Amino acid sequence: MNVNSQGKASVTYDAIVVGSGISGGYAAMELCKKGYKVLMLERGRMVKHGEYPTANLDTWDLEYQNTVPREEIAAHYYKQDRLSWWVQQDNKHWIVKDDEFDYDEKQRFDWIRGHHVGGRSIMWGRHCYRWSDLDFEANLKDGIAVDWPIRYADIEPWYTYVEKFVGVQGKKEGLPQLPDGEFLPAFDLNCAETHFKQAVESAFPERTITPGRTANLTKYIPELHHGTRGQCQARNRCWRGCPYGGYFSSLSSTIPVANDTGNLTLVANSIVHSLIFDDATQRVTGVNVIDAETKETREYFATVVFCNASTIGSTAILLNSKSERFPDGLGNDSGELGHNLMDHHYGMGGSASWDGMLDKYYKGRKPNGGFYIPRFRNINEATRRTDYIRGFGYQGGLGRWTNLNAPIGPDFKKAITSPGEWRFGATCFGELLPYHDNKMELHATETDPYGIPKLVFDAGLKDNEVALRKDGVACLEEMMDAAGFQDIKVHNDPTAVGAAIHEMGTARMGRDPRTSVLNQWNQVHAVPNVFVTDGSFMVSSGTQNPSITYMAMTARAVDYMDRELKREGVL
Amino acid sequence: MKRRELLRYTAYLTGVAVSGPVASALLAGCKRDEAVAAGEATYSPAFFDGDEYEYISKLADTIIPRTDTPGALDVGAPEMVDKMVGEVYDEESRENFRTGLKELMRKMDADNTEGGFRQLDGEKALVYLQDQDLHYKDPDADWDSVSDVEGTARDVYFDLKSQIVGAWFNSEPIGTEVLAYLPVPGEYIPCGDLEELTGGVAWAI
Repeated sequence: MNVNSQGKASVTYDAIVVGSGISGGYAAMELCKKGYKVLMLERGRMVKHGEYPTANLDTWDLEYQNTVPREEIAAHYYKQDRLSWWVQQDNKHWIVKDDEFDYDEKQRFDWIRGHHVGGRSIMWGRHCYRWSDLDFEANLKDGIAVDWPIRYADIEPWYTYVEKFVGVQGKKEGLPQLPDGEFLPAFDLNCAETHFKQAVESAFPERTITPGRTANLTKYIPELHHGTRGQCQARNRCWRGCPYGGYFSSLSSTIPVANDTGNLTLVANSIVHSLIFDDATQRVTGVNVIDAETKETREYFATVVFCNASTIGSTAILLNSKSERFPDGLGNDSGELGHNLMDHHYGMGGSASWDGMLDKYYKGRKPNGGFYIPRFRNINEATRRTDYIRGFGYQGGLGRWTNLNAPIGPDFKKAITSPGEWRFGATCFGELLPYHDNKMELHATETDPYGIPKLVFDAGLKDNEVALRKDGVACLEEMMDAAGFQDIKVHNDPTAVGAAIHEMGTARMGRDPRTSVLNQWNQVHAVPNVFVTDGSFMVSSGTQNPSITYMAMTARAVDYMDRELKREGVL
Repeated sequence: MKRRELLRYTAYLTGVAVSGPVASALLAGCKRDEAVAAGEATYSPAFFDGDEYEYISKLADTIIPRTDTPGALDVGAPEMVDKMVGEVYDEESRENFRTGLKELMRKMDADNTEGGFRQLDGEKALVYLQDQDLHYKDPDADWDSVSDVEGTARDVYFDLKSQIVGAWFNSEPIGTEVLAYLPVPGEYIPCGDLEELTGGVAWAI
């Protein structure tokens, strides 16, 4: 290893944060605000807020009608593009090329990544939903996996804390299974969505239809929304990166705030190979890094390391951090590291037409899809199912579509330039249980171009998920019926694990070091100066989009670390 | 052309509304060669041969003719088809498309014995193609039982129609001058009167 010629001091920080995505950005910001000198390492290229090459391109400005040639897909995006909606001209510069960063799969696993500063916080779906005790108590009540070591009361103040900074628009509903948050004014349901809401809630009183809750600034409040942010312009081009700073990303929000403290050092193109474990102190002293451009190796040192390289990335680093003390990966006394891999599963949903309210329209492109239907199954005795445990939620919306049924010719033009009938679409997101044998591991012999073991995935849906899916589709069909829609179609095509890009688990929290990797503070049980606060800590998957939970737990972990360090002097 | 593949390219026309993690990559277009767009040069197709390109152009002109607003030819829809099939499709889809197109051309000429489809004047071409379009869309027709060749011709017709409509709908002249164009809405109004909001016209994007 080459230590910088200026000596170890110049590469030593208070804290190292591995990863610059949604949780890494949050960790770095919180640490910097508390006065710690932070080194943030990002494996991908440098990107700064505003460097969004497609942000202002109209559809006619984009090559190939915004599609990517099949031969380019076959050469570079053969796995990323299995999500048929994902790889486009306007966002492909945020998507990893499979031929450069490939992986193996015993069952299909969609590992969707972006190697650049900001990570997937640039392209994320932005939906923010709190978890409740229905989720935190689920494993205990069902007697599966391990119990969450926290309850809603532990995370509630941290949800509030991060939501105020993130800026989440939504509507309060007072639901026990989906607690309200600190909301900015909602992107309200449009006319047709309101019709759907009224019809469904009248037919099914236990179901609620609420505007999708997303991290878009419907009301920019400079005193709260620090960073380079501003009012959401309702363009719905978020995943290209927003020059207005209208939604939350590491680039627009956490990294600028961290930078302003003067405590942040951000180094891109730095692939963390492993953590350096010191047997004498039983602590991690730093990280081994490979330069993504030169392949040179470097070491950086710190008092504490936050792993925020993503559910897969952080666990891969831990698995690859082998020592005499930890022959199977750092912190892996339990043997659970890499296991209990989860995601949400979808590919179940429906579509329909509606010929009502044809004199109504909307203005602007709301960036929250439309509506969210929180879980309504197995939330109490009255909704108890005998065929499966847990539940599902839906995201969907209605919009005016293009009327293509008119006869071709001169009148056709008039028909297709007027708004057509309403089209309804909704997708069901189901909970995936934590199964020990759903896992990722390091390849025994093959490595990536940097000499780091290739990853192998082996995870799939099981009986509970299959039963849940049938009900998810049936419930949607009856809701479309209740709304009086026409041309109702449903589908149930199970997705691979990873396809929802909500991967979770692999380094779960728990009360017992014999069955979990992290304690209730996201701290590696046996190595207390290592925190893991990305999705890998999750103990169950819930039905909600998970990022806001990662952020809340990250802020909570930093606060804990800070208090412990000040109290004890060491971790 | 595999029908599933076709759906993939033209899903926007089948009306899959916003849902879940949906990329709203709807209809789109592409910059044309400036000289061609200005009418100062003729576009030379890269994938299609001269004959094929003439049929495609005739179809485009019939489906979306020039009226008080630009037609499909005015915005370069056939150029876009040439580019999409030639550069975006994979080799197999490309060949299947060509096979189906040849069959469609053969059929259109067989149906119009006096000089073939290309020789029809605008009105006659429209009457013929409207009839053909309705026939192809006939909900009672059992298209699974027709011969592969015939089915392929029909698939290619709808693919072409979708692409022509798409290229026109989202070209810059139509997007900015015919449809309601609002690149930076600034606000969201969830429910308003269609006439008041856009004068009855659809949003461009």
